[in-house]
Parts: sequence; C-alpha cells; structure tokens
Amino acid sequence: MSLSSRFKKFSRFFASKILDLDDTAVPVEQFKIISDLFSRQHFSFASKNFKEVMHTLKKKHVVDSIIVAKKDGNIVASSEGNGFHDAIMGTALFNYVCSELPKSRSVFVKQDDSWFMVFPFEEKIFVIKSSASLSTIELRALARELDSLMKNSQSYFVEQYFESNFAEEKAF
Amino acid sequence: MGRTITIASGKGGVGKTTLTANLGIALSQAGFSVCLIDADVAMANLSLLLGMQSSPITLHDVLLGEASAEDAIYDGPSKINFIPSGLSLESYKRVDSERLESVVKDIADRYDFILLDAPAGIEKNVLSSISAASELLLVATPDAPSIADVLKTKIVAQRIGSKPIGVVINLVRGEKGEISSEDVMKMLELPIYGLIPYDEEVRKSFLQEKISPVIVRKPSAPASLAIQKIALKLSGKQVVFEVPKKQSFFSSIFGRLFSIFKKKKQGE
Repeated sequence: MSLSSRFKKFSRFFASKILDLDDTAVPVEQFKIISDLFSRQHFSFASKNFKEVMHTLKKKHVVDSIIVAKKDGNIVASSEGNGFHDAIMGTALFNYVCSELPKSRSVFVKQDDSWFMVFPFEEKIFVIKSSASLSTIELRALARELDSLMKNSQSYFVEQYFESNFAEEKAF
Repeated sequence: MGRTITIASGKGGVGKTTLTANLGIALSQAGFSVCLIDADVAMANLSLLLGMQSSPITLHDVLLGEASAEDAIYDGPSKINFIPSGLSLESYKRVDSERLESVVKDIADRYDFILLDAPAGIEKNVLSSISAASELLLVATPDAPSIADVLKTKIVAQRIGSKPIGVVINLVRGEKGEISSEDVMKMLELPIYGLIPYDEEVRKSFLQEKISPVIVRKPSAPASLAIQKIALKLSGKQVVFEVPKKQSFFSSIFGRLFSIFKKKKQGE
C-alpha cells in the first residue's frame, strides 16, 4: 500500500471515527412521498348526499361495494344502485348457512377475483364485496361506522337517496 | 375502568417492546397499577425483556379458551403485572387473536393502565391488538421509512375506530438528517409524547446474564429519564422535552479516547 493511500485511509478513519463528521442531509424527497401518502387519506362524511357518504365509506374501508339489508332481505342502504339482488342473495345465503351451522357469525365466499362477505350487525345484514378478504375486526368497524352514519343522517337524506335509486330503476 | 393503550409502530425494530416494558415499569414506579400484555402472539419477546421466560399459562391459553385471563397474570419487576404470550408455534396457529378485546375487558377494572405490546405490520394480529385497547400510542424512529409505517398504522387504526393519542420518537441521535419532532407532528397530526435518545445503556440491558429493563438497571440513563417523562405525560402531567444535543468537538474526542482507554484496561 502506497504512502498516499495509507494517508487517505487514515484521513477517512480520522474523519469518521474521531471527528464524526455528519454527512446526513434533510430527506426532502422522502418527505414528499410521505406527504403524498397522507394527502390521500382524508375522508369527509360531511356531505348531505347519502350516495357520496357511501362512496367515501367505500374508499375509506377499501371495499368495492356495501349493501345493508334487513334480516328478511329488504334493503336498507347500498353503495351500488339499488343493490336488491345482492341484498336478497346475501340474506338468503346467511340464513341458509345459519340453519345448517347455527353458531355462524359470518359467511365468506371466494369468487374468481373477489370476496363476498355477509355478516349480521345490529339486527341488519351487511353484504360487502371486496378484492381482498377483511378481518372480522375490519368488517365490524365498517358496520359500526355505517350504522352510526345512518342513525346520524337525517332520514330525508336516506329517503332522497332511495327515491333517486328507484327512479333509476324505473327508467331502466 | 383504567386506560387501555396499545403500543404499535408498523415497522419492526423501532423499540415497541422496549418502550412497553420500561413505560409500564415507570408508570408502576409513579404509583399506578399496571398490567402489560404481550399482544405479539407470533413473535413474543416482552417476557424475555422482563426476564420472565418460563410462564406455564400464557395468553395463547387464554385466547384458546383453555384458561382465564386471571390465570395468566404474573408478577413482574417493580410491582407490574404481566400477561406473557406463548412461544409455541403450534398454539400460535390455533389462537384467535380477535378474542383479545374480551381478555382486556375482563381485567380492565383492576388496573390504572393496561399496556399492550403490538406486533409489527398491519395484519390481523396487529388489528386485534389495536382494537383491544381504547387508545393507541405510536412509536417511530426519526427517519422517513419509520414515519411512513407509523402513518399507515395510524390510518388503519382510525379505520377500525381506534383513537391514536400521540407518538413517541425513539432512538433520537440529534443528527442533521433526522426528521424533526415538529415535522413528525405535522405529518402525523398527532402530539409528540416524548423523545427517547439513542442510549447504549438500552442495548447493554439486553447483554446481561439476566435481561433487565434499562429503567430498572440504570434509572439515571438518558433513555430511562425520557421514558419517565413519557409516563408522567401519560398520567396527565405536563412536561417539557429536550432534544438531545450533539457533543462538542472536544468532549467527543475526550469521550472517545476515554472509552478506548477503558476498553483496553478491561481487556488487560
């Protein structure tokens, strides 16, 4: 090893070990990535339009559709049009599974590229479609939030929402 | 009913377990009744940190419905109570972590604080430990990957209705490249509960014949003092946090020379 390389090596050692020169820098680019991630995560449920509220809830819980029905299959709320078909199928499926396996708390069906999840909450049946399966904790949180939104929303917003969906159905 | 707080971070290796153990002891030393729960059902090591590896009944047994929560409570250092998690892979595969919420509810009346040590990540077991407590304390190191993971954890926690109360920034060295506590606060929109400096004493506390939390082994170490302040803040008292300053040029050189001399002397 030449004298100059030995000197360089010693200088580097001196700089790193003895002087402990701080070559770190404020990670500006990394900040941008984080703030970008953050900016996508604001969900407001202040809208008076129940359709928009359902859409926001769908985005927040990263699911494809949410349908709420009474235990007899009558629809209570839906994020996708009137959702009659899924509401009836979901409640029928859940009732059938419960008749065969009485202690069932939820029914998960894996379709080609998505999951069909049915579970009861506060005397209602929730039917959730998503590309990934959700844990019971996530499903319960979604149901709790939607239930409270429905209770807090003035009834006429929900009525408005259904009237518009019925109108769509009739036109179709 | 006492406060139930889950300590989570998203990222592994940021000091969740170390903080849980030491914070629990600090709260106990401040006069509160405390129970620690190792909610990391897959990779349990809170018991290791507390020096309590051999527990016949664990959280696994409770979650499997084979024992009651009361049966799995052990006495730990500084009068804390502790529910360890099992080390068996077989029972881990069988446990239903979603039962954790009812376990916490069963004992919540008995303590001022119940601290849950959450696993890393944002998978099912993490969600179970987050939803089992009413509050969430996040731990991050002052770098972008850790902050990003904490942010994700916060988002997921809020999605399931959890209430994040603040962030603890761990392993603070006071280097230029570190994300400042003000920026962390702005990004996460959460208050800073404390800054824990990088402290060799924490690492050394793992390198003993019998592992002992730093707050027990070296109560005057900078990390111990910072954790005591966090305990005070958690209990409702206001304290001012200080960012650890970098050593000056001369004190740094003398410090290093002294440590080299000390090492050589120990070697002889």
